[in-house]
Amino acid sequence: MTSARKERRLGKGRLVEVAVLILAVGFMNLVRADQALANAKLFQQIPEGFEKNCNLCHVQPPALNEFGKEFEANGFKFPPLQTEEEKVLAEEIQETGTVQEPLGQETGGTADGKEPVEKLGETEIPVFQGRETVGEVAGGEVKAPEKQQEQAPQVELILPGQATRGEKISLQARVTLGGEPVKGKEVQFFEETDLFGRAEMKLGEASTDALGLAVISYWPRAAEEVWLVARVSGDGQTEAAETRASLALIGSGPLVEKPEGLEVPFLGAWAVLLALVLVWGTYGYVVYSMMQIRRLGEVVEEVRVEEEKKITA
Amino acid sequence: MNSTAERRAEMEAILLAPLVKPSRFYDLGILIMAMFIMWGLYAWSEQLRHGLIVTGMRDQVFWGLYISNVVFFVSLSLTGTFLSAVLRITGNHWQAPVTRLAEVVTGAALLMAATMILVDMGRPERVFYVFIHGRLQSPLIWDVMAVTSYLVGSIIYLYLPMIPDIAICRDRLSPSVSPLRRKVYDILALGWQDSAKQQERLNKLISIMTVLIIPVAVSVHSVTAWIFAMTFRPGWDVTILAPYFVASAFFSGVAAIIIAMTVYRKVFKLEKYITWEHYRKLGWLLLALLLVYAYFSFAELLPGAYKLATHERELLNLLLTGQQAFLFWVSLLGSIVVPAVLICWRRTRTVAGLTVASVLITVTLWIKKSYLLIVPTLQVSLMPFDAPGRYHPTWVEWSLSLAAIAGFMLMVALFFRFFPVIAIWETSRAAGEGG
Repeated sequence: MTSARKERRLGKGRLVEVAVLILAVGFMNLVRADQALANAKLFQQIPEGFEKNCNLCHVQPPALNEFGKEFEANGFKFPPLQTEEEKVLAEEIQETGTVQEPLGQETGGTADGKEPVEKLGETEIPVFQGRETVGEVAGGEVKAPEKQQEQAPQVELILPGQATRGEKISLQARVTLGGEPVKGKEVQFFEETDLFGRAEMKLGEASTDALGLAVISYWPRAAEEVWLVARVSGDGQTEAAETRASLALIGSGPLVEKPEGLEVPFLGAWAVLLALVLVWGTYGYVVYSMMQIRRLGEVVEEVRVEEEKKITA
Repeated sequence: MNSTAERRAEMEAILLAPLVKPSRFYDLGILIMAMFIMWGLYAWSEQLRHGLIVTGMRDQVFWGLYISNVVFFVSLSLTGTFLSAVLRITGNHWQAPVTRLAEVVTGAALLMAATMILVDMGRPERVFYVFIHGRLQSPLIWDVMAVTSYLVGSIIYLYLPMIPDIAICRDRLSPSVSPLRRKVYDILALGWQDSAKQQERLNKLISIMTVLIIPVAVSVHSVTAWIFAMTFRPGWDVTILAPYFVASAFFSGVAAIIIAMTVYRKVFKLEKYITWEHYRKLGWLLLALLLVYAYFSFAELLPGAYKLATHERELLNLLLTGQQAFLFWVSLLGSIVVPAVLICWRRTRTVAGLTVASVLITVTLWIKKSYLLIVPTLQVSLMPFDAPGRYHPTWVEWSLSLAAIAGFMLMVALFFRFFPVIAIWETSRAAGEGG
């Protein structure tokens, strides 16, 4: 290899080319982030759709609260996440092996991981567990749930007779199927609004407990009456359903609180905008004038060429 | 050929040589920085995949190294343009050889500050929400407006005096560079012929930008301080924060310029143009700013320490004797005491001594005015937690922080790979040699 070729191979320009290649490889890494941007998850043990607030498990991460300790001790599984009613129900099952009502049959989670079923006479009806698909065992074969005929659940909004504007109340919705409560069904709550057109404002969502109840906290802000909607979506086993009801409100002070900020006459956001316009306007002028430098150069060039022609002539 | 023309020709030969034949070490430096950035991008992809859980930030200490770096880079960005503008407006020309270096430091630091904000966002693809949903009442929006204005203004202010130098590159380097590079020089030179009318126009535009860029620069640092000062948190809830930011930014910026001067003086062999006189003047400026900084550091702490309002005691305990005490005292020693000795003592008042002082100042100001500004304040529990908040930066944060520093250095290095490090046109004029 000649020294010139060797120099070219290891030469100065080559190092910059290698640097550019390394940078390109670095940027290619970002392709891996594509899916995460659409669905960031806290950590892998929590399946999609079950992301929770940090404070569910942590007093102050990484320090764990009681639930966090229990969750960790349980191998990062969620069974300890039970409402008070569920705990009572679970204890009752543990003590008696049965539930008094409404079905009086086996229910609750099983240790072997199989999905619980509730027996109603000779028919086995799967208990709905959140978004998870529950199969049905019959004659040793697993029937796909989509083969079942979809049934329409009933959604009932349970509201207090009257509420005070701005004060917290509980919005409850009961979901039943054939008169029986449906557990783990996600209910979305909306408030009907009429601002620049009629629309629904989402208030929150909650899953139903063993009694079929989904509960969220709500601070009504409307004038006199508010219309609320509770909705469950279809999932291949049940149809979508919704209900709406009105809530009468009594007043307690004005709807809109006066801001605490100072009010200085002739001084407001316009001053900031004016400063911004002045700065960017000057930039615009400078850039425009800068572009004229090229034209001035062309004039000089023309004069020079003409002078050269004269001299030649 | 008269001596003026000879000197000009010699200057052009010395300053243009590294653009055609850079030293292998320079390119090796670029390669190493690229490797740091590649690793940083890998770390960022990990963060994007798994979320901010891979950092040490949690719901109490919700800002860490990333925002510390933002504050640091914003601080670095002040001096370049600001110093150059102030000296231009007051008719001082001694700084002409270091002007471009300072202005490029500004641009690179601002770009890295903006990048670190993106890195700090769990969902960076939502950055446009700032523009779509931003409210004018929010200091964050003021900061977006101020930083954007300063970045654009700094680029214009950097570019204007470069036009004659780019024309020199166009005319002198054409035979020895690639056609693409030739084309770029040709476009950026804006047809510069060094005519009287062009000079007149250019001088007028430089004067306008010189006047405009000073308040814009001050606004950036004030608004960045107000992001913190508009809250009720201990340590941030002080009226002195904006001028303190401006003073410390000026301080760290001058230190950064001295470091950059030493590097480029050595690597590009510019001893003839970056002289001891520049070091001497910047050294005294550094000492003056050190005293202002020391005063602000004391004035910031005393009222809080005297009153010990609700959470002030917890913060001061953390800083003076608690978990952050080591960093706090080291930062004061490294930013005030040791540099003051190095500058004042005749035996250490040398290029090496001033460079060491500048490195110390840069590092310890990052600790004091960036890290210790943010983390201890957030550690103070405003909620009834048992203990101060915890924050331990993870490998992802360290990797991205190192990549940010590498990115800043790479931008500066690449810039001077293609454009002269010293403003030939301005330096010639300053030396009375005519344009």
